[in-house]
Amino acid sequence: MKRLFLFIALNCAILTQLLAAAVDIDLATQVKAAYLFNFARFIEWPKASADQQEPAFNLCIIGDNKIARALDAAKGKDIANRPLIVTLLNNAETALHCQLIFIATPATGLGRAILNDIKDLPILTVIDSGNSGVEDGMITLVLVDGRLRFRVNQPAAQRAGLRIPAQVLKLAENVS
Amino acid sequence: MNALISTDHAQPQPARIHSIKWKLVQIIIYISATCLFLSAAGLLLENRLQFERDLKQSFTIIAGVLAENSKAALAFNDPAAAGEVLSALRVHPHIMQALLRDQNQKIFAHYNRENNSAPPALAVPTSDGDAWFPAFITVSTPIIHQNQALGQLSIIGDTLQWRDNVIGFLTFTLSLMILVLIAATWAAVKTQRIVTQPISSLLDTISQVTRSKHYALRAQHHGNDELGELVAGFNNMLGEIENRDQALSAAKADLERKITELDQEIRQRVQAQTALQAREHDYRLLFEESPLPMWIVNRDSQQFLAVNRAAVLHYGYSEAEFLGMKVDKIMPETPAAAGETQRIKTPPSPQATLTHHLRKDGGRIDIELTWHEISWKGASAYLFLINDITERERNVRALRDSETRIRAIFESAFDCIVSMDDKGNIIEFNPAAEHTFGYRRHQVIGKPLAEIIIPQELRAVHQQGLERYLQTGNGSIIGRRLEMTALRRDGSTFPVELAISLVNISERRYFTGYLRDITERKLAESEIKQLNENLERRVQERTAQLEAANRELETFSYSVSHDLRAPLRAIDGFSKALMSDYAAHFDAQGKNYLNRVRNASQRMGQLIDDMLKLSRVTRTEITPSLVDITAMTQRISLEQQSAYPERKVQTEIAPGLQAVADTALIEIVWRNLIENAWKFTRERDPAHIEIGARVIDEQAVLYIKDNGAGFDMAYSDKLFNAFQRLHSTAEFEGTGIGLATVHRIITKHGGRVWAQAEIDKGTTIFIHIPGIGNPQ
Repeated sequence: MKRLFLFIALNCAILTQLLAAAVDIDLATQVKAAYLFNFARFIEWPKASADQQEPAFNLCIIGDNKIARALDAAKGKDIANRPLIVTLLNNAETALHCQLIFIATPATGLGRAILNDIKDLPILTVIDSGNSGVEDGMITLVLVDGRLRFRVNQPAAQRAGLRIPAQVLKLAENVS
Repeated sequence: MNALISTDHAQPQPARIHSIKWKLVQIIIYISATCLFLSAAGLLLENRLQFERDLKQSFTIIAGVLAENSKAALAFNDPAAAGEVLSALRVHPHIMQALLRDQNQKIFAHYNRENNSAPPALAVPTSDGDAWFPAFITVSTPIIHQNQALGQLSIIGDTLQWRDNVIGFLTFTLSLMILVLIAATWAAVKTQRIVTQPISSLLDTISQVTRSKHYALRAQHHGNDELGELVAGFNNMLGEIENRDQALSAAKADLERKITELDQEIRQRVQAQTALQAREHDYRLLFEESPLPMWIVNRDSQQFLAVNRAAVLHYGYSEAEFLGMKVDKIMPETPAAAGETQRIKTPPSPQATLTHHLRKDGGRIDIELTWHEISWKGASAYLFLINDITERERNVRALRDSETRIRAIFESAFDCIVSMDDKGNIIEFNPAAEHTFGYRRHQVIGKPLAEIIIPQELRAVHQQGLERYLQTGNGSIIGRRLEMTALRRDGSTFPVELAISLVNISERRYFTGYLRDITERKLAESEIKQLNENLERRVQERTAQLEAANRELETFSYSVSHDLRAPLRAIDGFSKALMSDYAAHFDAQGKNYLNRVRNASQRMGQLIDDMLKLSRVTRTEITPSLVDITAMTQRISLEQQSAYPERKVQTEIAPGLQAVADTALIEIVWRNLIENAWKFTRERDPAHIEIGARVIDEQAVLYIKDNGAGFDMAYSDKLFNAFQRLHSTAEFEGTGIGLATVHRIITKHGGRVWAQAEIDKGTTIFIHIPGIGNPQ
């Protein structure tokens, strides 16, 4: 019974996504996509040795297909001399190749697992808090007065070796 | 010498020294000022360029820093954050405005020095400031992050610092210039003495020498430079002048004395010379300008020594020729001349001698010769005066001859010559007059003319005419030829032709009358006049008769032709009736006769028609127009062809034939000629007829040529006469009037028609009408 419900729910979710794809992507999603792209451009990752360096900049998305589509325009663009690749993740293993992981559903099991797996790795985690109240990412997108802002967990980022420039920090709603 | 200079120091021409002094000072000041000014200008230019570079660089740096800091704000679309970044510009007092644009050139954030809430447009100032420096400087920098353009930042700053900078610079430079110029002037005034002092001292000396003429003075010596050399040279010169001056004074005194002596001598000589020249000139004038030939001959050598202009003109020798020859050259080689040559050697006589000389051209002249002995340039000589009397002699002879000739004419003239003086008395009466009038000369000389030869009734008129002429000078009969009546001794009168001429001799007037007896001529004249009158009358009578006869003849021929037709028609008609109605009653011979009657009557009818035509042509008036002969002859030829369809005739008609003629008449001509041509080529197969134009004797001529029977040219003069036929009717029918008609029409047009033919070869008829045209 429960499985059946899940199946139906899943199907419903897929249907909704398909419907969403059919219509124009809403403004909020576009803004979020722009934020993700700008984070990728402004934040500095630690220099890896040549053989360990990923050939592309992998921007990974969990739980939000619309954002992936909104980022289509940015695909292939140059991020610190690497082409941008947008990947939808549905397991925790491949997350290690990502440079930036956007978790739209941090409250789910997969979100938590991934957050746990990549802790302290040089991977920027961006979390859409939505209404979940979860704010475990290095950067958390929040809605303040109907305007999308972000909060920065500076110690987490520093632990992972990521440097967030002062200009970006200045734009943040709150830096902890 | 020092004392001399020091005492006169300020006196000799101080202005000139001053001027050199001041020129030197001025030059130094000018040079200093120019250098300073150019340096200041160069520095100012460099300062200005450097300042603009610095200002731009500083603005560019600020723009770069701001651009870097606004990258994230731009990327994250946070205008407020960008505005905060820009507001940092407030610390820079000279930046007026800053504008941040996003990728789409939309204004994203802005800064305004005056008022933050000002419109966010980049108000690019329109003022250019002064020409020397722009009032504003604008700097733009693109905002790029990781090779991606995010936007653009523009900064506008004012250049107010420049003005302060320039004022400071100019104040400093001007102060410096004034100070430097003062220093330069002071230095110039101090140092110019080095040059001016020796010059001034030299000038003093010169003026001293000039005033006192004391060449022993010397200028003070200064140093060894060019000025020193100048002074030394001047001193040497003074020494030289001093020496020369002394020598000159001595020479001058000597010279003056000599000049005075010379002057006196010259004056004396000139006086003597002038007197001599005046006298000689007078004599020469007398000799040269004398109208009589004169010459001077050396007594011993007989050589010419001088001749005057009259001699040259008279004898034909030039003066040079005269002077190169002896007297005997102009004397004819006669014994008398030899005697004369001898005589010349004898003492001269003041009396004139008659002799003759030869001119250069060989002409002989009669002369009166006078000579005197004179002394000529130291030698004894003769002066000859010659008076040419050739002309005088000749005139006398000519007068005598002339008188003889005139007398001969007078004596032998056929006309009577009678002269009278102004009182009317006869003074001449020639033999012809004696013969005509019956008087002897001695009987009438001195008698009044009127009483001798003028009839009683005309004497009053003669007297009046003579008196009127003598009083007023109006002579109606002088110089004219007139006829009047004259009186003989026996009292009979006769007609004369008279001409009177007038001669003025020594204030008196003489009239000479030339009279001729014209009795015979008068008779002949009246006879001729009568004959002429008779002749004219008779001509008029004859002309009238002839005109009447012509008219009569024409009327007659017309009426005859016309009236003859009726009986002819009757003959033909009844013959025809006989043939048709009574054919059975005639044997062959009778029918033949009847046919011949009919033929004859028809031929006569044709004859009459032609005669009528001919007479009509004679009467018709010509109305000329331009006729297209080509078209006309083509039409007539076609008519002929249709009339004789069995004939083969090749007709060649030249194009463009034209004539100025009466259309109707000229058609009669061509119809006749073409019909003739057809007729006389009847025996030919094919017949050939050619109509064209050619030029004969420079006249355009139309012709028609056939290859028909032709005729004997011996009869060509009869061809165009009426009723003249060169062929029998048996051979070719016809009346013999056609060509007569042609001839008459062409003649009436003022033209000419003639023919050329050869038996059995053909005929060519030529027509010339004035105005025949052919474009060829």
